Amino acid sequence: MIVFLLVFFSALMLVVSAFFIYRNAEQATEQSLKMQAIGITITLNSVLQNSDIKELKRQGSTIFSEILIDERWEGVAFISLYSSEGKVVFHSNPALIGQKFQEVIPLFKEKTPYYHYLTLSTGEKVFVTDTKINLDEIQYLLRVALHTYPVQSLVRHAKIHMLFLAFSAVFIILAGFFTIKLLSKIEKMQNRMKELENLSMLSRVLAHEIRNPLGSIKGFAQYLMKKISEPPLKEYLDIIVKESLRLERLTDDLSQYANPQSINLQRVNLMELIHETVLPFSIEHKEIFFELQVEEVSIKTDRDKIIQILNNILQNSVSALSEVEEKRISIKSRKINGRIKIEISDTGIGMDEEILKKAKEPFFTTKPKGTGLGLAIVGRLCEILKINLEIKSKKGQGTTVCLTLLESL
Amino acid sequence: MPDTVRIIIVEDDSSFASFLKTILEEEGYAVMVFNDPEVALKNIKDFSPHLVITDLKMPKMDGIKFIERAREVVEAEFIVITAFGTIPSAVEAIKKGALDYITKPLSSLEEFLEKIKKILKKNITVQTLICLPMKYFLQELKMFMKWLKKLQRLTQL
Repeated sequence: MIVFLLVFFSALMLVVSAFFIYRNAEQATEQSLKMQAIGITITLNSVLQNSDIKELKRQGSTIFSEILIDERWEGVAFISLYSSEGKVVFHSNPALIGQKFQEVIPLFKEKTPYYHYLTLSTGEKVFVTDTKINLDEIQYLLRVALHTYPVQSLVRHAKIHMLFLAFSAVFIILAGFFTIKLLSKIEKMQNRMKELENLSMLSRVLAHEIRNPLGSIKGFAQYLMKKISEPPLKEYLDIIVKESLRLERLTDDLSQYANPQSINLQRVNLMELIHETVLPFSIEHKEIFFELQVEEVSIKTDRDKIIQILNNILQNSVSALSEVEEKRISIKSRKINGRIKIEISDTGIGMDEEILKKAKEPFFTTKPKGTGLGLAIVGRLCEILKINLEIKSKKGQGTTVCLTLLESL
Repeated sequence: MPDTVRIIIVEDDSSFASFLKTILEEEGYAVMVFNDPEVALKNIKDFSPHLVITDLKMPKMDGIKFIERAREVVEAEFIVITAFGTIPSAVEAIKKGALDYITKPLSSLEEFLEKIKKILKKNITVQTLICLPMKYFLQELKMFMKWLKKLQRLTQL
């Protein structure tokens, strides 16, 4: 999070600096236009002061257009001199001499030089400097209009620079965001791998350290059960054997969760495999109605792991049915868009949202003697076999487990 | 002990070894337990067992190494004991010459005893029907060759 904020802050700084570069370029451009306009105004004023203005007016002089012929004045759009009535006295475009422009009259009341922009009939935007000058004690308005495009290229460059920096900033922010997301994903994966490595080591130690004493506890209990026929004692021994089996199952489950064996791919007839897996359950639980709608399809997968997945899911379904009246487990499988969907539904007690969220977590169980690893093993094996696992459940309405398999791994 | 079937148990977990000894002795086998594989190697020839049951994971020497060394000294069948998680080692042990493996805890006493009985029966059958007659046949053949050589010398004279 801190890294992302730093990246975001530096990108923001980039945008701010780009904006100021642009603003400076704009101001520098305007300053340059002002300086140029003042220089021209002073030159023209000096020319006019040294000329006989009345004579020039009488001759209908084209003095301004003559001045503009000189190529050194190419940056000038037009120059003009207006009388206080708004009438054009001189203009670089002689056709306009004598015409009246009402909008010029209020400018005589303004403080000059007055700088502003004007849009010409050609659509061009020009920089205008209006200056009041006195010729033979009569006040005139000298207007110098400059083309902006020579200096505007500087602003354009600054604008492109700003846009480039803004895009860079957006790119940096996006790249930063995705990098951080990727890094956190990698970190999560590393943590998960470390967790599994620790669990794998723990399960190996447990397997050895628990199963060793369990070997003699369970063995001697089984041996004594054969020797002793007294009912209460036989019952106690039976408890020892059963509890030993429970511990044995815990180490088995833990080992399966933490150290799944490598994938052994083979062609499997899914219909036969489902029938084979369900058969022992239907024999053991005659009170449950098993409904099978399975399409005959051949898939390439790890047979033992699929059996393990189905066994664990069915085991959960059977447990969920123990407290309900309608005992039904339905297994459907069909091929959809090149994938095989297996749906195992039961009419059991179901799970509320909170339990459903935790259902796949290792060691989470609602059964008094469960290891809490059944669905965790299913999740882990699905991960290995690239099976999409989805569990839908509602309290009191049963549970549906959907497995979506690839036709070939 | 020529008539009894002799079994050696090599297992560092003395309780489990004691349990195996109890149930095997009850079946009439002569059983000797070693908690240390090195001591077992020193004494194995004297006991001359028909069957050796050895743990795979032991502190001084692992079961696979023990089988390799014991096979140099005696002709017996070997079974390995494995706690869950060492099945690949059990398979490795079978590749090195062990006949079978059992898991700890045993899934059922009857199954285990049946397995032992089958292995020993096969071993003893092989010994009595093939190995022993072959041994006698070779001894007789040697005697016959010696006698033949003597006869040859006599005819040369």
